[in-house]
Amino acid sequence: MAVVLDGIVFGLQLSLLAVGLTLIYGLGGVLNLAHGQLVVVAAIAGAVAISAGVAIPVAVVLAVAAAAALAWLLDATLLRPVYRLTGERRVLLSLLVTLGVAFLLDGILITTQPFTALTLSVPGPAIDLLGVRMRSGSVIASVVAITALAGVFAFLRLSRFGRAIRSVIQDEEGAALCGVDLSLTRTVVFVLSGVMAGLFAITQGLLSSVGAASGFNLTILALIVTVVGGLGRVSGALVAGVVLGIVHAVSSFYIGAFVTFVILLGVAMLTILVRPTGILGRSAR
Amino acid sequence: MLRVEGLHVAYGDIEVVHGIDLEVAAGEVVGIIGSNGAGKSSLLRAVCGLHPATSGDVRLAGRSIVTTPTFRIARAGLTYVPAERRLFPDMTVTDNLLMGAYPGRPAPGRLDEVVALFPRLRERRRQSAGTLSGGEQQMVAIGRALLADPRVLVLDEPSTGLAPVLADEVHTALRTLRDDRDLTLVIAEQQVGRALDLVDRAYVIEQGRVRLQGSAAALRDDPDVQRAYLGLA
Repeated sequence: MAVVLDGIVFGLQLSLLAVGLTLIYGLGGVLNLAHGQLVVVAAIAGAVAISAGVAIPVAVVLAVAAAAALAWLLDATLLRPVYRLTGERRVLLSLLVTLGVAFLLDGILITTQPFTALTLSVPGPAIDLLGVRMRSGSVIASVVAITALAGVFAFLRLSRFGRAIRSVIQDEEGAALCGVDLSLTRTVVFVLSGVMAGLFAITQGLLSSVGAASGFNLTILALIVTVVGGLGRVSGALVAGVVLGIVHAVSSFYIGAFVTFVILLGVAMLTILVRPTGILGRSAR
Repeated sequence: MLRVEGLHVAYGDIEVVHGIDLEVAAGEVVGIIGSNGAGKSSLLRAVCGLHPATSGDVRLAGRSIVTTPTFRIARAGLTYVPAERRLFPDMTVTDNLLMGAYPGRPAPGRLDEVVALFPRLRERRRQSAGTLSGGEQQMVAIGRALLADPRVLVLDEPSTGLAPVLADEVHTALRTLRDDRDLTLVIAEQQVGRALDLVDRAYVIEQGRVRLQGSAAALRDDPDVQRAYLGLA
């Protein structure tokens, strides 16, 4: 039971990680392979701020802001030529550009901050939940993840701008004909994905730590969740995150960490074979 | 209200619209008729900024919009309903209609007006648009455009490919719109008889050029139009 609960907490974090990736892909066919590096940038920014004596709540805000700012910068510069292309060429160029960014950021972070890692230890008693003791860090991480995910969901479902974002995912040309500024929706969603990546760094810092070298692992995890949830489907990413979180926890506990990655990839492959539109199995739009 | 001057449109190296001029005054209902492949859609897609024009100008209420992006043209009041309709399939009918008013909210009563025009949509309001029949989708597409409160409403093949009953319903609704609301309307149609029934004036497009233009009555009596489009001897 404790393992499953750990899995759910990690799963909520995975959803946090995947929501941005799936939205960006749905909006414009861009797969951001530097997504994990956004997390790392947030973590390092937070850790550096804390070691410089900044108060923890301020450092947390700075960390999230760093990831959001980097996302905005990427969208405003390197992704502009990508969006000028259409179809397969856009997907391909987006892979090359974001992979380049990922290597660049990895290089910079690993050489300049090799030993920096974000750890946010929360003092306080463990809490009993459903007869299982949860560390207070886990509880806070879950609350942060659930609040953020609920916020994104409400924004997409209830606000006019959120409806506009969904319209672009479903029909880009129809959205433009309704007066939706495609480029503005992409920028907002990219920044939102940066915020979510930053929040992932915070929650992970509460549970263990995030160091300079974890970028690619995180990108791969996010990709797996995105595929299992169905590309471009936010609700799919939520469900897939939690399911894969539980799979991850159970398999790391009973089998081992290396095999776990293979099992997660196996789940993703199986999804593509059996339900190509994702775990919720509706149209991929 | 809408003026097109010497518009050329090409796809790659192949030019499909060879310098078209047309003019639509405020409150007028104008047809663009011609067979499939005559260049009607290419012309309209260039007018609303979905495809760049090679040369020429498009003016909406005097302002050139030929290089303006589509979403700004839409916000400036030119609303285009493409033949493929371009609805949002996973959204409800109501959400699709509300998108028409984006970025604002719909004018009070406008949603009810659309439902009154297309009563069929009433019981479909909560259904996702992708599950509707072609005719119902066309109704949603026109309704969505009406919620934008357009200065010029441009409809591309509004009744082509629909089941006859639904094509008639759409046609009746367009007639109601023409008579009850002071709309400026441009309707592209390959079903020439149907179009001439609805419009004040029309342009006949053939191979990317304006072949003929005139009032609906004059075109209906024109021997060339009768032979080529109305199936009369």
